[in-house]
Amino acid sequence: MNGLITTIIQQLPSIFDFIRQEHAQQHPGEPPLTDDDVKAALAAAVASSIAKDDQWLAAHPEPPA
Amino acid sequence: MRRVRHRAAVLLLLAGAVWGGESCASAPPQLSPSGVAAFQARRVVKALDILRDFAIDAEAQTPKVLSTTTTRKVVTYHRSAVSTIGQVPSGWAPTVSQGLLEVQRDLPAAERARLGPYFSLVSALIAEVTR
Repeated sequence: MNGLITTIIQQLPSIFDFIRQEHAQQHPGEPPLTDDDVKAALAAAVASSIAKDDQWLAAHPEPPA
Repeated sequence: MRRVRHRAAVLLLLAGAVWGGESCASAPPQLSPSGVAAFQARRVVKALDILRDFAIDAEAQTPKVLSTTTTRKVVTYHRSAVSTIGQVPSGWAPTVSQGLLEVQRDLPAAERARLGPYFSLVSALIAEVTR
């Protein structure tokens, strides 16, 4: 149980960051996003996300059958 | 009782992330349809990241909150889902949704319950961006 609580607490910055990003998108006064901006942001998010997966999977290889 | 309270707190927080963001997260009107698709796809990638990061952090606890086997399944699903989104920003939803259901079915009940709020977050966001 303590481990679960610790994990949730560790997750809070990510969750708040997610909430912040959800709210930060396109408010009045911000420079307008272009198609290129959002496509580049998506490509960057995908690349960094997959890199973290690969790093974890390399550190935790499947045990031999 | 404490466990239920903590679970409720996480659910409330995640629900707030989705509902709170909904009013601000509509795509900018100047984007073309492909730009809107990329905009929404990025939001889903971020939600998938939260699911994956929770699994990794939970597996790293001592004692483990999630088993390495379960975490590997979540990370493998995440990698596949994010790759699909990157490759098909306009047509990823059926594959990613189906994979989400399959990975949940493939987990032990107790671990599936621990990941429940995070699965719900991803499902809710996919439903929102594809409606």
